[in-house]
Amino acid sequence: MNWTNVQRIFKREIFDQLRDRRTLFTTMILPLVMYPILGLLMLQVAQFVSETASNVQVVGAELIGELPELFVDEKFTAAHSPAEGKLLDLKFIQNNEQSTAELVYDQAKDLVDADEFDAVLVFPPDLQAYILALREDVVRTRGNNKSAVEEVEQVSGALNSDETVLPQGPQIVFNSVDDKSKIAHKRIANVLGSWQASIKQSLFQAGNIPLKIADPIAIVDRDTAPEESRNAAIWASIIPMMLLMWTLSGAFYPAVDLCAGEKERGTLETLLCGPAKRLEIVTGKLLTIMTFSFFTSLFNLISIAFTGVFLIGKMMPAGSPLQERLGTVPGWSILWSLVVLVPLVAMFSALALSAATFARSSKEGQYYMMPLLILCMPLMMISMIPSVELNLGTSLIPVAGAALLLRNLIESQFSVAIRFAFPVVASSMFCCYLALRWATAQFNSESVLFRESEKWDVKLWLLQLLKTPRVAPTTGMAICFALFVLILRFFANFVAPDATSWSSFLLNNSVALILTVGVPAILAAQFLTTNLWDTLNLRRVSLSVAVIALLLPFSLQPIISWFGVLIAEIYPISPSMLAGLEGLEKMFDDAPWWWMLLAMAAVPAIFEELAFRGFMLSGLRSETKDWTAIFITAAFFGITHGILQQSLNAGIIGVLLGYVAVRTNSIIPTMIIHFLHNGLVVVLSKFSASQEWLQPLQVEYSEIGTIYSPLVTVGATLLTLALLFAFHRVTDTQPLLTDTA
Amino acid sequence: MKPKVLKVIVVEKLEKTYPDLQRGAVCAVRGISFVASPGQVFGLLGPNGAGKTTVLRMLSTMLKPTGGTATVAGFDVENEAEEVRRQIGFVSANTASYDRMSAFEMVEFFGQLHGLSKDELANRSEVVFEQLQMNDFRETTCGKMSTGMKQKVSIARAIIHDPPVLIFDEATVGLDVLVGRSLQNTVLQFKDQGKCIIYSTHHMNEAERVCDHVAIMYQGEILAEGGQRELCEHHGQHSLEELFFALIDQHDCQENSAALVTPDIIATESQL
Repeated sequence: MNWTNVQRIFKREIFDQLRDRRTLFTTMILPLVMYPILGLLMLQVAQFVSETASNVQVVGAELIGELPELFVDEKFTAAHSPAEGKLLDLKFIQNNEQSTAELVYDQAKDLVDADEFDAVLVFPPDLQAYILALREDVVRTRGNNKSAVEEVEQVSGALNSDETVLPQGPQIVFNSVDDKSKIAHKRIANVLGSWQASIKQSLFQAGNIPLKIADPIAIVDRDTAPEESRNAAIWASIIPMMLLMWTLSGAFYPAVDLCAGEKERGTLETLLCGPAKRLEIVTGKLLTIMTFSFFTSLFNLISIAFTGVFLIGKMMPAGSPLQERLGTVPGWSILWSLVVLVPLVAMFSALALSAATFARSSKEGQYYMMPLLILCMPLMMISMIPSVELNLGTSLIPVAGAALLLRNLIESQFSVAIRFAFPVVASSMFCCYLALRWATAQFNSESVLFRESEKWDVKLWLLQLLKTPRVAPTTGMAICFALFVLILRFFANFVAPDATSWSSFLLNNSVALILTVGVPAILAAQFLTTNLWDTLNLRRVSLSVAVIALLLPFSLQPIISWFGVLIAEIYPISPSMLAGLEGLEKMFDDAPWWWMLLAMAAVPAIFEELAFRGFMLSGLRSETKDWTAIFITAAFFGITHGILQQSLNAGIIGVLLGYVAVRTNSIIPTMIIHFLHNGLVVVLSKFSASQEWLQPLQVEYSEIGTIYSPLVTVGATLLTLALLFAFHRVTDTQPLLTDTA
Repeated sequence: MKPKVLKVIVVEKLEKTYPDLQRGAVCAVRGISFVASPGQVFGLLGPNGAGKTTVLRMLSTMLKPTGGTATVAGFDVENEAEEVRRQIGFVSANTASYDRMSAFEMVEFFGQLHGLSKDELANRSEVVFEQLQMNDFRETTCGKMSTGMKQKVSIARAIIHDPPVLIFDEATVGLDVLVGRSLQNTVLQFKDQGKCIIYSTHHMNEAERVCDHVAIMYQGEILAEGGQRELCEHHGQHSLEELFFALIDQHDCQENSAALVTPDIIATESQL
């Protein structure tokens, strides 16, 4: 690669983009002005919401005249509402002693629902009598043992139709979905809390009881989170998502102009027939996109920090009610986040470059922005879920790990952030590498670069698909098939009846697998291609290959079980799922081993292989490189397993099965491996407890159970490597029969 | 360095088939062969969809041939693509200019990509801007230029490295008569400078004026190839346009009769 050419292309693209006002506005100016404006707006809204008086109707205030004073001049007394008093606009009506509590509630509900009042405060008719009786009771109990409470209970029992022993206290009728109503509720609850304390005090005084008896102990909260972390909590959950969205947008807009735009203007053709190699062009463009994405992130961070320090920090001083509500906006320390953003910038840039290269015009390029954003959005939003924490498992999830790391950085939890920075960066860099490979492949693909903007005729396409079957399925067919299988599996989970016994469970599973995975593969191969057997890779293999296929699952068993342990350590199985699995295991206690072997080993081995190493691998291999096809097939094979832990394990085995299928051009050995692998798991789970000879090979491991001892695992790994070496020697990558071959 | 070759472009049985989701495999170019020499304007004539652009894209290494070979200045288009690209200048119907760059910046960028030193670039730009009469809009950004001006910029950036081969792919499409004529004159100037020019067009009168050697393409095939006058005389036609229509009619008739005859032949064969 000639770096001088890369530099020239990069320089040109940068100058070109800097002259484009739209890109400049979207990637540079908007982030700079957005946060101050957003901050001001939030402050305005927060002030508006918090300082607007709540409209409250008070029902039956006249019925509590003898209790500690709560109202003065149609307002709450200042003693009980130092701050809230001004913000509660009260309207009094009398409580009709004849109306039932339900009737009063219904009337109050109508008023709140109709938005006439933000909340309604209802004093029940028997409240005062109850408190007074209670006071008398307290006084009396100091002298004799006669209880006045029983009398009051009799009265309240007569008034209320329900069977509650104690009369209801004041009721706050509000609507928790309505923010204004919620604020009103909070304000009234504060006032009533203070009033309740004064009633308690009066009762204790009446009985000459020391007040501290009521609260003999005081619970002391000692939060270990540093002050800045506590204050930044709200912002730390929002900012990562916004930053990541901007990083993606900052990459996407220039990418569309640099690739789709160039195609549209015809300049790409000019560039391609110039002396620069395609890799140089891709690198130059990628660096430009990365630069814009990086600066967009940088400007976002600067703007957030500026808004936090100078704007909101000044307008919302520490200790103010607003500050308590919104927390402290992170200051200049937020610029640390830039370190995390660099690999993400590279990844998003490569992704945007690929998508934009695929587009025929700028307009089409814009359409790809939304799906890309929707795909990344759930991962970006992970930082907003308080229960999800940064750990080894989450740090390895692309985008999500970075979002959580950013959250920790903004919360100033540097010790946690540093511990998981490496996995986050490594996972991001790996995704970046994949995205970059995709982008380069797009740039080398004639069908992508010179895609005609012809109208897509579905009818013509379907006719072509069915009338003239191909020798091998296309990559598009393989991907569509895999997505179709995923959708079928998803719906099959809902349609399948709940299993009540082992037989119904095994039967349901087998039928579902055959119908959703096996049958579609056979039908697709039959109708879309000219040769069913070749498409499904059903070819004979040599005896040596068959022997290796028979041995491999046994030597693999210890390694796979260690992988299982590793996966369970990184992504622990949730207690609810564990309970479910235990229930399932119990159900299988009565199941005959051969039934389990048939349903859990033979059926998946035949039908999953037909679909994945058969139809899908053939399709992918026809247009992509063998290893790309193997990894994509393994990924889909993993995803169809549903449970994350199982998917990861299946994905790893899927790579091996794909490799075997590619080397032999046959799914017979993969069926053998698949069957024996699943079969071993079934048989061992059924019989291992009763087999003493197995015990020396295994060790106890934490709560997971028994796994193979390290020595056995190392031995088995060496044997696996030897078998794979032998397999590599006796096989050769088989060329695939395609339409162009 | 490869020795200087007399035949700058040698195309042999060149083929291009590409997969098409709606039509299956489409054969855009069906084993065509031709040669072009320095100081010659080789006209590639044919209607839209004849495969002209595909041939030119293969010659300029943008597309890889699926069959046959092609060499440009002695370099193979498939295996020595980078060298081939240094030997050619490509001008397309689409003026292909960067709207936010000035004429000089654009020419300078391509000159730099071709590895011209600062001095070389300064000298070449002076010559090129003078030759194409572009000094008036040297600093104007392409977005503000007329189509004719843009096409001049496009030519300037294609010839800045003084390549021995120039490819014009329907370069006069969208130009008015005056600018079109000016472009044709420029092409003739290049011819006089000894450059080998591949000139694709579907305007026969334009080809008559500019090209001294033509190949008539139709449905991916070359129906006839040779000197203009010789071709017309050989087929008994007065002009290229008449020749063009005659050849296409002849081709279509043959195709139709082949379609009619084939079943009978098959029937006869099966009876035997």
